[in-house]
Amino acid sequence: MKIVRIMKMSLNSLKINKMRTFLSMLGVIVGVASLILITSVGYGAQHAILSNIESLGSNVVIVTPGQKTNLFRAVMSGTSTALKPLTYEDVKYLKRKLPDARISPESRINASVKYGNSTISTSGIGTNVDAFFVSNYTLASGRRFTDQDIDGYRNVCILGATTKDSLFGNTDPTGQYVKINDIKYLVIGVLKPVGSIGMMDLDDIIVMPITTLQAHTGKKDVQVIYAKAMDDMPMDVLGARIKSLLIVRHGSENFSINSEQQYVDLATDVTNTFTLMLTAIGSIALIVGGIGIMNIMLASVAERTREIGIRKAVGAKNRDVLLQFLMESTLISGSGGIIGIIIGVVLSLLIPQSFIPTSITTTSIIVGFSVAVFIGIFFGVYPAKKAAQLNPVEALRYE
Amino acid sequence: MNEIIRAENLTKTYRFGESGVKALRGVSININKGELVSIIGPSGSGKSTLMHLLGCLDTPTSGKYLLEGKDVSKLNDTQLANIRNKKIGFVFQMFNLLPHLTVLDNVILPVVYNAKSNLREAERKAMKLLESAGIKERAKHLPAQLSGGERQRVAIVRALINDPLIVFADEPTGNLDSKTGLEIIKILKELNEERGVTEIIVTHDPSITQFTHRIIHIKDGFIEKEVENGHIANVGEIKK
Ligand SMILES: Nc1ncnc2c1ncn2[C@@H]1O[C@H](COP(=O)(O)OP(=O)(O)OP(=O)(O)O)[C@@H](O)[C@H]1O
Ligand SMILES: [Mg+2]
Repeated sequence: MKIVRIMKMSLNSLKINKMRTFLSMLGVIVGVASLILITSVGYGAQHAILSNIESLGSNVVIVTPGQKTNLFRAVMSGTSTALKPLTYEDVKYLKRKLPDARISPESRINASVKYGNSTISTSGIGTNVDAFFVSNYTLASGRRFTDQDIDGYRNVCILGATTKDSLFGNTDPTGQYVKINDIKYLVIGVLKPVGSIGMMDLDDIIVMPITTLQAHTGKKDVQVIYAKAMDDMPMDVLGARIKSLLIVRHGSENFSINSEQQYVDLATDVTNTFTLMLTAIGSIALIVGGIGIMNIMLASVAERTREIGIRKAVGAKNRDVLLQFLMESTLISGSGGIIGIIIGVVLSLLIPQSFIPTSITTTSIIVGFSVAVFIGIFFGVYPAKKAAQLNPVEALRYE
Repeated sequence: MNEIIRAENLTKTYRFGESGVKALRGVSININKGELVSIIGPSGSGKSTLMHLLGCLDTPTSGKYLLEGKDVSKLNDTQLANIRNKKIGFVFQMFNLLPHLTVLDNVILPVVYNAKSNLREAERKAMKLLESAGIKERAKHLPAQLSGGERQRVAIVRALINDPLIVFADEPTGNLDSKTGLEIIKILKELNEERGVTEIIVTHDPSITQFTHRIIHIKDGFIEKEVENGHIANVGEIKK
């Protein structure tokens, strides 16, 4: 009952100077809001990247040109960073040597796709039949490529879900013709949607035979080679076989072999580092907020010296005064925390999921609130102690 | 004999580094239950300092202080706070009400700091006391809305809320005009006569001492003389 009474007194003191109370909350509001926002973006991005890498298919060996640096960028960007590229000839060679494995190349171009009056620009991917076993390509309708499509340099294509939606809406595009970079292609199928990584929409693609793409662009290199064993050959064995075959063929190890797990690790590392960095920034805001609260509380203690003297004269113990001021700083930071959480959550929800995926976790909300309360207690102790230790006679003499 | 205060050779020195101000230089004083005592002396003579020591707001530099036979000169902050809360009521020259609390909340403030108290009961009691002080209808007002005399009545009611052993009033009329001051003295006098409250009133106005039982003259930190008042003025005489 007494603690409730002291809490009421603290609340009352805060109400007397609303503007000051609000200003002293501001640092904590900004800090907590940014923490919530950062972690929700961080978790969201991590979640999206991981689920997409995983949907690539398990047990996939990934070959990229160049040495181990920048492998993440090599896959995610369309440009090759290799000095000596991988080629479709490499793919054909590996397929001959490893008949029990599925091996598919991936080469990307900027594709301007035209159907009727509408033109969109999307990512054109050249690959082969094996892509349907190795990559996450699943047909929603139509048919896959055949060996005849690949070997015959046929002008056929398969649309990603987003590409299909923007060009055809709800009608079935199979059998229709589109123009890719001014060359006519027959649409033979549509892929099931798979989602997006960060801002990259994985369904915003158009897939065509690697041979056709290379013939039309003159490009000889491929950015990635994916391989997957069809028997029970372990991944690392397949990776080792590919490695020795390619070293013989290239004369040196000018490529990198990775497994899906390594990408998962890398992506986790990248997003963790990113989140940690931003969290550090948010924490600085919180510490600054805490110092702000300490400042205001010190000013408030000085200003209310006489009040403290009066309270002590009528029997308030040091502990009562300590509690009252500690309660005030904690109420400031706690309410700041709640407001910050609300703002952070609202901002996270306002970010379009297609732009940056966000995921608000109860952990981040609980942590945000606890940190705010902790800040109030931590930075409130010193001013509260100062108040509690005032000599009652001195305090009463204070003008 | 119903002695509630026995102070022996109290001294108080306010330290400033090496030097110090000797505010009290050895004061011995006894107060009996039901007494009404005034302490008078020039400014700076140590009246307030003595009152702070006797009121357990501060501890003496040396000397012995027995309150109800119990030595309180060596108690810690918490123990002193408890004594102030349960046994002592203060009335100050500056009223010392909390400006953001209503009259009623100011009055029950000492009860809030008493762990074993019932606030509802305290509020009822406060309303009764406010009524007898003639300011019941001001219960929900803030101190700033009250006149000086009314504020001092609130302070007196606050001093009484925990039924203290003794009430200390440090120049209770110092901030009031003489007519209002007399009204306050009248209330204090009635409390002593009708309810038997023991009171010590600090003043430097000789006209106030005429209605107290005993007058203690202080000068330069010493008791200069103590005078038993042979002709105690009554409330009716003060009224004029
Ligand atoms: N906290 C303090 N620090 C230093 N000196 C003090 C302190 N309190 C009182 N004094 C000094 O002690 C002496 C006695 O002060 P005290 O307040 O007791 O006088 P007083 O008799 O109440 O005077 P007045 O009638 O003006 O209220 C004064 O010289 C004063 O300056
Ligand atoms: Mg004084």
